[in-house]
Amino acid sequence: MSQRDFRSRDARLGLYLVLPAVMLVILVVILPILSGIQISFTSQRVVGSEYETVGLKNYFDLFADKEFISSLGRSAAWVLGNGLFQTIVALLIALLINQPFKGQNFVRTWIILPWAVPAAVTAILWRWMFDATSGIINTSMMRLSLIEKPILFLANPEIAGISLTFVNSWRYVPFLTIIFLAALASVPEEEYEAARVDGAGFWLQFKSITFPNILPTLTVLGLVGTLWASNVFDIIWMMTRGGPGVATTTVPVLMYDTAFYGYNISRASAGAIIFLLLLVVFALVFIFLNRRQFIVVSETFKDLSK
Amino acid sequence: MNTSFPGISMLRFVIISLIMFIILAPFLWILLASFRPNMELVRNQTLIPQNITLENYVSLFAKSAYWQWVINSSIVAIYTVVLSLPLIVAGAYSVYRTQYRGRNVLSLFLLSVYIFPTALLVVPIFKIFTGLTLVDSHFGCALMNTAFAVPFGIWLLQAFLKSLPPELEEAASVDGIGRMRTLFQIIIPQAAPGIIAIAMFAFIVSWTEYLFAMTLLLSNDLHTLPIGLTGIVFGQYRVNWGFAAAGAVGSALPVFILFLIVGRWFIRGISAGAIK
Repeated sequence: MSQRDFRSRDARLGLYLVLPAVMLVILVVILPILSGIQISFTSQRVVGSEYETVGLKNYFDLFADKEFISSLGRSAAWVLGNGLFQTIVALLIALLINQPFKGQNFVRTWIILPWAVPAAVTAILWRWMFDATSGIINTSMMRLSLIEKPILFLANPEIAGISLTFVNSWRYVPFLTIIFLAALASVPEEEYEAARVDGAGFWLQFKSITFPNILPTLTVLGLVGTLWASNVFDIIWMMTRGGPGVATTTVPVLMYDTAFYGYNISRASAGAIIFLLLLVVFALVFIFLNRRQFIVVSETFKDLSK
Repeated sequence: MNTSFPGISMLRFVIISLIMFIILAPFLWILLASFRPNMELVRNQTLIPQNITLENYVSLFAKSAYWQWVINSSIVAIYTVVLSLPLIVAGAYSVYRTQYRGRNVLSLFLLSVYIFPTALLVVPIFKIFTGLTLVDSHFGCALMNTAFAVPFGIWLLQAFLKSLPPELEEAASVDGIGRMRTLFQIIIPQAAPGIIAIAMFAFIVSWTEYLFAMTLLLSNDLHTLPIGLTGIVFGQYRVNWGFAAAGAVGSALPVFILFLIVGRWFIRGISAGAIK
């Protein structure tokens, strides 16, 4: 078989194999986005109701709506506090756990439990822990006289966002940690040995071996983790419903409320499209800045047909 | 990267213990709460329950649709795993072990699923799925879960696939074995730990899913565990914490059992070796 034949057969096989996944993504992602764009140009209130085309009216309305603009700000703060903060904390924890210690296997298995239980369980756990009158955190701090009045973790608008960020991080950081741990375990041990022979210290080893090796993982988690954080809905909805007032109303929460409780799906769709465009811009800039990390390095089959 | 000071490794141990405490203590606390009578929960509690009761579990198992929800959640999760595995294995093999132009763009395109603001686009999904008669069906729900499990699942398999030596395919090619047979007879058996990890990932994505289940499953007898649980816990004006605690334990238990059996395979399956 000539090299060219082999190459083209390899390429064809690769395309066939990835095709089902691509088609599924088109069905559940691309089509709904197109449909969402179409709805956003109409005056439709609920699914199936009559409507007329109103052009960009929903978009103009949203940009004139203070509530929408401030929810964009809250979403930005949420993404910084969750996406960015979580990735850094997870990396630090992973570095801490990576070296052998007694109980390492236990930690590696059970640390991801918060990620593996439904958000409904998380919401029950933490609403119960945070409860003002019978929650363990408040009652024990009161008993130790650390505080005089209970802290209203979820009912105080100034604290609610921080409490939710904590809970959401409790849920996702362990998962990110495990992925970093897997990446750290994949760094060839010989590289460290060689560095130690050369007398490289902890920091130099991290800078010249660990970091370059985990950079592709860090980049993908930085991107995907930020996108995940920006779209968090269930935990906020179950713990505060965006409250108290609008203190934790991020864009997903506001638009969900607009669609299903404000009976205005066209306006909600317009909000969704605006939010989506902002995320697309973020993703494109992020990918462009880190473009080298996204190239799949594989030279495996270069010489296969010789 | 060895640290040789005993003080530092002691400090490290303390920090790790603290982290594990923050992660696991809420589960223990809710487990204790689930055995307390509701009256004891609203008063100041002692660390160890004063009166042990099973009333919360009686209401959960006998007076709610708990078992129905577990069955429904399991059906959706099994569909999701069965749909995801072939898509992930085929997709990952394509992206990480074959060569064609546009491979990088394609892998980025798949990851772009996560740009999709799920809470905001459930309306169009509902419309499209109505047309495909996938509303009010566990399969439709699983299809959504699959779409969101596959792209990251493909990426999770990369470390494992890259760690397999290229000689595997070379040898097969010399012996005249086709690429498809190589994939099935040589790569897949070698990648078993990775595949277990991916199955766990898909299962958990489905088991914890809330939004699509809430939107797409209209009939009560199709509801999954998260939907049923939030309905009875947060649907009331006052939360009955004893009952909520039992519900939380009942929803976490299946995952707990899964982790007892295959938990330690997860990290092995997503890393390129070195973990035993």
